[in-house]
Amino acid sequence: MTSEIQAERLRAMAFPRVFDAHKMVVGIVYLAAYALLDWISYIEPYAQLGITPWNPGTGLSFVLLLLFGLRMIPFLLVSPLLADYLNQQFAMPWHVEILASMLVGGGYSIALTYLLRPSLRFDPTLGSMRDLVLLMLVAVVSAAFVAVGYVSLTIIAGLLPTADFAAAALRYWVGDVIGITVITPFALFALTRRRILPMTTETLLQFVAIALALAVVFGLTQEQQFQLFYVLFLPIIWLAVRTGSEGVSVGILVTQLGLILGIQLFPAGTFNVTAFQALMLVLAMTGLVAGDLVTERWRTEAQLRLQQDSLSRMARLGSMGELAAAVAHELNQPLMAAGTYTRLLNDAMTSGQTDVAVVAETAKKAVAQVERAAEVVRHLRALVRLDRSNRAPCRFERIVEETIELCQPDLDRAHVTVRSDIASDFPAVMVDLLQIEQVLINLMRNAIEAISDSGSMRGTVHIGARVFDDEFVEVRVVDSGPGFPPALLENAFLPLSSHKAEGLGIGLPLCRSIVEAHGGQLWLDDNPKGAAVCFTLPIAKTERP
Amino acid sequence: MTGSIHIAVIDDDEAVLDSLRLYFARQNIKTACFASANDFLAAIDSGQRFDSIVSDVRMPGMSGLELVHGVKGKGLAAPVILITGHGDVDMAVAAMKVGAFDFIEKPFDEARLLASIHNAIEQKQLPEIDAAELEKLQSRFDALSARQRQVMELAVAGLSNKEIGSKLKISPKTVENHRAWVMERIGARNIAELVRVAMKIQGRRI
Repeated sequence: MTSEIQAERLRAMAFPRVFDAHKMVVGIVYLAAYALLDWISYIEPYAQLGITPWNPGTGLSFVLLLLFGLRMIPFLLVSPLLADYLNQQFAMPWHVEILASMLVGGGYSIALTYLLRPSLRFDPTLGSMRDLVLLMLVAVVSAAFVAVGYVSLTIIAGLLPTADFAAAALRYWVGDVIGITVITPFALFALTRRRILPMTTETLLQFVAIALALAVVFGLTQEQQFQLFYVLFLPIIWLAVRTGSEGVSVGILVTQLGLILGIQLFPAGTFNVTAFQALMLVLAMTGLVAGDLVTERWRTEAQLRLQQDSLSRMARLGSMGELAAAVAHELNQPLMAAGTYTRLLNDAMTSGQTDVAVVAETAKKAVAQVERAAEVVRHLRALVRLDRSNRAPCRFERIVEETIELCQPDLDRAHVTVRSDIASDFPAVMVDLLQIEQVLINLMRNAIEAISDSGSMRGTVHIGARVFDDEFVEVRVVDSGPGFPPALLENAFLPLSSHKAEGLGIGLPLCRSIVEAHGGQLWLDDNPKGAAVCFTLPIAKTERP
Repeated sequence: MTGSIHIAVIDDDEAVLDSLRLYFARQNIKTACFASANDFLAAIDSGQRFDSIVSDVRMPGMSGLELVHGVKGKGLAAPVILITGHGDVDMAVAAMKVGAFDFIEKPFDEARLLASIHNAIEQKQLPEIDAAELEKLQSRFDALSARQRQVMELAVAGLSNKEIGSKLKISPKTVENHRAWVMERIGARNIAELVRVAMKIQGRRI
């Protein structure tokens, strides 16, 4: 309870930021990237005023503030100025340039300050559909204000005729919104999730499809272009359905780059670039929403599967109370009988009524009952020892991938990234997939909790695996949290010795039981920084004919 | 009295039955052993009569609770003493509420069972508890604190210390303290006696 309030307070107090790299380094990298993007995207400017069909720099500005916090605002205020100077040596008089830069940077800074207000609970990792929609809304509205402001400024400065206001403002608005739509989700996914697209044959085919669609759009006659534009929806939807929001963000970026390239390859003026970009905007937003829906569905499915697994496991173990009652009954019967027999023996001996045959008979009966009790205990051990029937050779990478996928929502929420390094020729392990996933999930959750409980806004978990000897591999899970308290290092495996406020503390003992049931070992490693848990798993023996 | 006592012992476990039979034989108590409640009820129908019935609570076919119902249904006055395992206390409490005389938790000392059997037979011959006795119990109960009464009510319902603790949000250790205090104040030597007292007080309230 109190820790929740503390965490809430911490979140409210801290600058809303995800990463805490050095401010100046990040700022300079941002300025350089902004100038570069501005140079790349400087095509078809409107009246040479830098009102271009797409402004990826604006998307970059969003990323800067969303990930590194509002302390980066000063860089936003100067980036348009610097880019204009480097790329066009100031297309407008310098005082207009400074005003314009302040207006653009300031306008978006205000919008992002609003977006990052703690009460809005916007998640910069775009964890849910709500976050994506919030981002898009803020982009659409703030870009409208900035577009109107910027164009008004150029008209007041006498650089544009008043009649051009609507056309110029529209172009500016579309350019900025598309810049944000194409760049911001892509960069946010890439930087916070550290995974973009799996490189598979299907991915390759998807990008071939994008290239073909682009060829169709540009290759056919002008009149049909706008109708044929819809061909581009096909590969984007394909990507959305198969790879979710991360994959689709890459597809949108590639499509946009392809469009811009196409526009530049073909003679200027033959295209209505702004109309094209408006179509692209619709495509990008549709793709992002579709991708997000797919990702959310996957997460829900993964969560469901996890819950079902844990339910079935609970069922398999039986409710502990019932199991205990059954065991108690099984043990009580022989104990009771043995007790009665021995007390009878005692009575017989003390009363001097010693019929040897009867005494021997009774003693034998008592021993038989003690043996019966021992048999119950042996059976119980066999019952508790985990079922071996589900063991099969598994690729360890797959276990790790599935575990990360299952933990992804928790990881994203705590801004924890996972790094796994497993050699490509890593041998298959002979395990019960679900059980070992359960071990890894348990260890990951411990790591995530340790990191967020320490008040850290981000962290990493490293999963390493190496071949231990001929029969075993060793897996090592290390986190960037504060590490195990020394007291825990000594008795982590006593059940109910949890140092956590909630939970039973049954996690680590359970992990160890599972690993040991597989013939492996699990231990806590002395690690100078963060907690490290190691365990071994048997290598699947390849059958030799 | 000894020598004339004839009891029925019902347990599905052969060894338990055999050991109890040997034990009671030494105490000069005649026993008839039955492997199930159904066998026992059939024997009653054939005219056998017993001074007391000792039965396991958990048996295949018919539970101790159903047995108590069966005995009452046949109009038998023989007191039923139930033997319960861990986790069956609530079932035994329910059985007492429908008329079982006592229950004893396994594993136990035969002396306790023997005492209970004698008690049961004596009580049958005694009139109901008198008003003065009841008044005394009531005043003892009233002297308990609210928390102690809560613990008593839950204990009598068959909950373990741990379950009571989690229900009342206090530690099992504290429950144990309250429980010991309650037992002492009420003058109950075991949970079965506590249940009996609680039933009497409750019966009075209604």
